[in-house]
Amino acid sequence: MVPPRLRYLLLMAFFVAFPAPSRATGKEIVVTETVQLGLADAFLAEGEYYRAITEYKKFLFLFPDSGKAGYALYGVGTAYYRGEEYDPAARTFSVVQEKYGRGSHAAPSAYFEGLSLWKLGRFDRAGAALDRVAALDPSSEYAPLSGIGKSLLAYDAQGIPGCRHELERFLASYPHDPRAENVRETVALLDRNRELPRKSPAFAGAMSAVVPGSGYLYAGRYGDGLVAFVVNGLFIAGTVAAIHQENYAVAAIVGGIGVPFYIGNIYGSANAATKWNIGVRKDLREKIAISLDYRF
Amino acid sequence: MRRGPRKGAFAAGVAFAGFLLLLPRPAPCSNAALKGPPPATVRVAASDREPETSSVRLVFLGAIGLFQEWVSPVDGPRCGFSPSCSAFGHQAIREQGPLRGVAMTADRLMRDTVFTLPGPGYTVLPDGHYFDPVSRNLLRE
Repeated sequence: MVPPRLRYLLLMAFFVAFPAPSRATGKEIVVTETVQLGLADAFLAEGEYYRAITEYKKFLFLFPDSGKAGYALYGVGTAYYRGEEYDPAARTFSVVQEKYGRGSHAAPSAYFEGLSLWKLGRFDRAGAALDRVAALDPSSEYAPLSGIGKSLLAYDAQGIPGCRHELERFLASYPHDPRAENVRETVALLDRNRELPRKSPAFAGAMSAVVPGSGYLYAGRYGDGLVAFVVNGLFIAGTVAAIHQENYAVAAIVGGIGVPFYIGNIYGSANAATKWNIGVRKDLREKIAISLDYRF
Repeated sequence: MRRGPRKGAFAAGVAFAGFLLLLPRPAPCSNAALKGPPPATVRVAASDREPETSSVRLVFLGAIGLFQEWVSPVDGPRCGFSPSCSAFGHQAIREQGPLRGVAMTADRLMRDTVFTLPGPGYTVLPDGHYFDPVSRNLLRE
């Protein structure tokens, strides 16, 4: 027999162990379109992009025939874009245009599809997507924006002439747009920089072949030029001295180690000139972006 | 024989164990779990790469491997670039071949000096290293 005190304790343990049934307060969670979209939007605003995608997709699963389905799918694309997942973002924005081509989200989808493809380095397809924005909805705020974006895209893909052409197209299409004055200033900037200064990589390499390090100086990298001159000078002097002393084994070893540095000095000089040219192009791109007041 | 108290103790033990089992275990939570899965990255493991067949390339890659294994750990990380000069050389020789790879490595070694300054060719990383991957040294504009 269990003693009465222990029986009492067991009974108490039994009651403590069992959870009390929660009392219904009369409030119920009813998932409506507004609630579900509000939750997804909140996650997107918080920067919880994966959760936002889940909630937008849940909306599409629960309310496939809703009038806001286009908005939800656009939200999926936006969350991918902000999460820097550009490949799924571009695919999602493309589906928005296919499924809801007449909706208000088609033009922004084409715009962000263009930006996503641009980020992925697919310039041709990005340009085609940006061109579609105005075709889908000429009155959309994204239509002039896509024209400006296209000019920078053209700069990346074709250089100054392509950029200028796109800016002129913008001025012809949107002469009264608030950004038109910025665009005119940018055209003037491009005209001032029609011929960008350039350093020839081949000439830099040839210079360093004759006098080690001089190609780096030509490309504006003075420290690298000095190091290349000293290193190669020492190897060449060591090899020549060993040959003069008829110590051919030492000459072969010193020369064998020195040859890669000599070739590296030629290659590096050409590389420095290439990087100088890239730097000049980047500087002008930065000036264009500032002049257009366009960032993405 | 007094069996009552032992039976009672056993029953109390079972009840207590049941009670403990019913208590909810605190769920471990981390900040990382809130942000969703990390973006997918495709990494090629060394074992998945094509086996190296060029003997010249093998010699250079072997020399860099020996340096990384035995020499570099002795004096610690000294390279001012990211990736380090040995990692850069390994990648350059593997991807660009021995001739171009060795030239690129020699150029990198001559640039890794106190004279190196940030410029159009280098991005300064948060850890202070200059970002200078192989892909930015291929003579492509």
